[in-house]
Amino acid sequence: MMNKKIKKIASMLLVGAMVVSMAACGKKNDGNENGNQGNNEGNNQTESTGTPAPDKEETPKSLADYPKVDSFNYYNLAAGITDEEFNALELAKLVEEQTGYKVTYTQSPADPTDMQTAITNIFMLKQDYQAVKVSKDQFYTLLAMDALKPITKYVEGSTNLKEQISEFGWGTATKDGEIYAIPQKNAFPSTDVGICYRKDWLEEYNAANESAQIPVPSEENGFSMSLSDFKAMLTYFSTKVPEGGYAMAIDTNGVYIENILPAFGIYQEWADIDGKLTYVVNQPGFADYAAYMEDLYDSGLILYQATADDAGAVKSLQSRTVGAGRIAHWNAFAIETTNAPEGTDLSTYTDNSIGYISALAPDDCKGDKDKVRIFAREGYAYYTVVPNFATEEQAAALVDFADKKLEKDFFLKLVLGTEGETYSVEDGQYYPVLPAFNDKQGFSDKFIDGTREDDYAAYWLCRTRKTAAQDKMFSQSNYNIGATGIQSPISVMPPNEAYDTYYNAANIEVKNAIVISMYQKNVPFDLAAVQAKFDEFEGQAITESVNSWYGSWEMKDQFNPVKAR
Amino acid sequence: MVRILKKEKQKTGKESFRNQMKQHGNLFIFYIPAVVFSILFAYIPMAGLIMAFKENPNLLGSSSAIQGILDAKWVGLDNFIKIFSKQEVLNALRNTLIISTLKIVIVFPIPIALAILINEMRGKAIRKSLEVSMYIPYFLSWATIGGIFIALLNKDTGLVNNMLAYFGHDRVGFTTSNDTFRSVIVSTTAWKDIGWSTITYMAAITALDRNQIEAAKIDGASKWQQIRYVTLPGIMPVIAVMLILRIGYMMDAGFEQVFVFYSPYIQASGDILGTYTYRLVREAALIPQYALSTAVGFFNSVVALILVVGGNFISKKFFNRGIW
Repeated sequence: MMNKKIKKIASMLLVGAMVVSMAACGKKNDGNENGNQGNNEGNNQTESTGTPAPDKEETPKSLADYPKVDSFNYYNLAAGITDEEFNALELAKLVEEQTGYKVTYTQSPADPTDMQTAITNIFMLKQDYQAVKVSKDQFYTLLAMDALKPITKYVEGSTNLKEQISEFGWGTATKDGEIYAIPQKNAFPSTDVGICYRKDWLEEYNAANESAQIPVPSEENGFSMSLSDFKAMLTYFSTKVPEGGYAMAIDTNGVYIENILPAFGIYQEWADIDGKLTYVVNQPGFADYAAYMEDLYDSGLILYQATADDAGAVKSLQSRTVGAGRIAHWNAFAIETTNAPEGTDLSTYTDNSIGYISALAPDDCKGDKDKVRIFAREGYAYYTVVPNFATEEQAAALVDFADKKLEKDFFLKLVLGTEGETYSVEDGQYYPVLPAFNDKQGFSDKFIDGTREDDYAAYWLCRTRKTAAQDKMFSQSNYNIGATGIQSPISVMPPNEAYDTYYNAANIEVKNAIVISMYQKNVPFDLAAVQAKFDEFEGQAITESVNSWYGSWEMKDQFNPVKAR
Repeated sequence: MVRILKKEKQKTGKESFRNQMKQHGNLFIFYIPAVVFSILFAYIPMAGLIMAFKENPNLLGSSSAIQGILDAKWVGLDNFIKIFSKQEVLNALRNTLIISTLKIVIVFPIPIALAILINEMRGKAIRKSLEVSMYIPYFLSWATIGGIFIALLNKDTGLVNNMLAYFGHDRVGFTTSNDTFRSVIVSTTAWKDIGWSTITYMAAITALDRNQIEAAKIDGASKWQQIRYVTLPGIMPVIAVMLILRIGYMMDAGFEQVFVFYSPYIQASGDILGTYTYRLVREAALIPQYALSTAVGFFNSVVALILVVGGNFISKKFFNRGIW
C-alpha cells in the first residue's frame, strides 16, 4: 500500500518536473513564435499571390525609410584570435564609424564540424544573433529548412549592394522570388592548391641525366609536367629522401588530387560529359587515373596520411622528409621559410629549392602550355544571412550595414587600408606594404558582407602577396588560369534536395572505398565496386537531381569559357 | 503487537515512506540533486526518442525544436529499416560487439589480478609508486594516447617496427591493418584503464576482514589458496557489480578511442556504431539526420538495457548478487 504511495509521489514528481521543463521551454518559444509570426505572415502574403507581391511593382522604398535597430550581434567566421581581440580591432571601429551600427562579433570554431554544430545550435536554440556568415552549403541547408528571413525589400531599397553584386550573384541567394542572403563572391576563378616539389632535386636529376631531361615547370610550359616525367621525378626523389621518407605525401582522404586529375581529362568532381553532369568516378578517365595513382603507391612513392596523427603533406614538406605534396597557397610560407637563415625578413623570403606544379598533363601534351587545364573555383563562397527569428528592424539594419560598407572609397579602405601606408599601386596592381598590411589589414576579409565584385578581384590579389612565398606559390599554381581554369557548375547550383541530403555521405563512403584499394598494396583497384558504392548511397538519385537542374540551366554553355582539352 | 509488527516490517525492509522520512529525512536531501539530474538529463530527453519513428524533423526552421519534432510526420519503423538495410551498419554493429567483448574478456580480469598482486607486495614505497604510475594514463585524453601509439606503431618510423625490422621481421601496419587493429584497440584500452580499475578492487580487498585471511594462514593455507578461497570470494560482489555495469556499456565500444585510430583501411574491422553515426550525422549530411541517428541511439539503448538486465539475472543466479 505504502509502496504504491511512494510510486504515486514519485510519478507526480516526475510529471511535475516534466511540466515545469516544458513550460520553461514553452515560454522561450512564445517569444520566438511571435518573432516568426511576422515572418510567416510575410511568407503567406507571397504564397497567396503566387507571384512576387504587387507592391514590388511600386517604386521600392529606400533602405533609409525602413525602421532599424542600431546594434546587433554578428556570428562570424573564425579569425584565429579571441572574440575580445576581434571586437577591439581597429577595423571593427572603422566599420562602426562608417556604418553607425554597434555590432558585437562572435567567431565560429575553426574546425568545420564544430562550426557546423555551432551554426545548427544558433538556429535550433534561437540564439541571440541577427546576422550569421555561413558557407554556401550551409546557406542552402538553412534555406531548405526555412530557417532564414527574406531581405528582398531591403536589398531593393539599397544603393551599393544592388549595384555591386551581380544579378547572377543575387540569383544564387534567391528562392521563390525572395532574396535570403547577401552573397560574397570569390575574387576571380582561381585554384587554392598546387603540387609543391623539391626543385633543387629535380635540377640535380636533370644535371645527372642529360639524355632524359624533365622540363622544370615554368611559364614556358604553364608550370605543368607530364605524367611520365612526374613519375620519373618521384622515383628520383625516393632516392633522395631520408630513411623512412617518401617521394610524395598525400593528405587524409586525398583521393581526388586536383592537380593530377586534369591529365586524365577530369576537370572537376562533377563535370559535363556529353551534356550531363557526371560524378568523378563515373567520368571516362577515372579508371586510368586510379591505375596511375595505384602504380605510384605500389612503387613505394606515396606516403598516405592514414590518421590525423600521421604527418600530412605540409608537415612532411616542412620537415623535408618528402619531395612533393599537394598544398594550399597559405601553406607556402611555412614550407619555404623552414630553412631560412636566422635574421632574414621572412615576409620577403623564398626558398629556391622549392617549386610548384599547377597541373599534370598527358604525355602527348608535354610542354604545351595551351593544353594545360586546371581545376578553378570562383562562385560564391559565403553568404550573410538573417535568422527567421530576427525582427524586421534587425534585418533592415544588417542590409543597411552591408550596404554602407560597399561604398567605393570605404570598401577600398576596408580591404586594403591607406595607399602608401598599407598598400601601394604599381602598374594598376595592388601590393601590400609589409609588415603594415599584415598588422592592420590582416583580418579585413572577416569584415566583408558581399563585395564590389569588379573591384575586389584586383584588391584580393594583394592578400596573396602578403608574403613572397605565398605570392610565388599562388602565381605559379594559377599561372594563365584565365585560359586554363575550368569550374564546376555545382559551385553555382541552387539548393538541390537530393544533392544536399545525400551527396556528402556518398562522397565520404566512395572516398573511403577508393583509399582502401588505391593506397594499399596487393589490393587491386575495382572501379565497378567503387561506382556501386556511389549508387548504394543514392548516387543515381543525386545524379538525376543534379541533372534535372543542369538540363534546364540557361547558362551552362557560357559558364565555362575554357573548354575541355 | 503493533510495535512488534512495525519492527517486523523494519526487519524485512518494507518501511513506510513516512517512517523512512522520519528516520532518514535529512539523508533524502542529498538524494534530491541526483533525482533532479536524472529527470532533467535522462528522463525528459527520452521524449526525443519519438524522432526515431518520425521523418527527419526540421529543428532549424521551426519556431522551436520541440515544435519541429512534433510537426514531423510519423514513419513507423522506416528509419530502422533504412539503417539496417545498409551493409555498413551491420558491419559496425558486428565490430562494436566484437571489440566490446574482447575488451571485457581480455581487459576486465587484468585489474583484478593486478589488485591482488599489488596487495600481496611488501614494499610500501614500490607499491605506492606502482599504483600512481599505473593510473596516470587514465587521465590522458585519447587524442594524446592516440598520438603516442600511432607514433610508436608507425610502419616506417615507429619504434616497434624499427625493432621488428632490426630482428629481421617484416614491418607491420598495426593501426592500418584489419588483422591487427582490434589488438591495438584492446591493448591501448588496457594501458589506459587498468590502473584506474585496479584501485576499485584494491579498495574492495582492503575492506575484507583480515581475520579470515589470518585464520586461513593459521590453518596452513598457501598464498594461492588464500587468494582463491578468501580474497576472490570476498571481492566477488564488487566484481559482479563492475561486470554488470561494464556489460551495460557493451554497445559503446569506445568512440573517442576508435575515432583517433580510425582510417578507411580498417573499416572492415574497426568501424563501430559510434564512428558510423558520427559520419552519418556530423560529417556526411548537410541536413543533420536527427531521425536516423536517434534510431541508432535507441537501438543501442534497447540492446544495452537487455544486456544489463540479462547480466544482472545471471549474476543473481550464479553469484547471488545483483545491482538491484
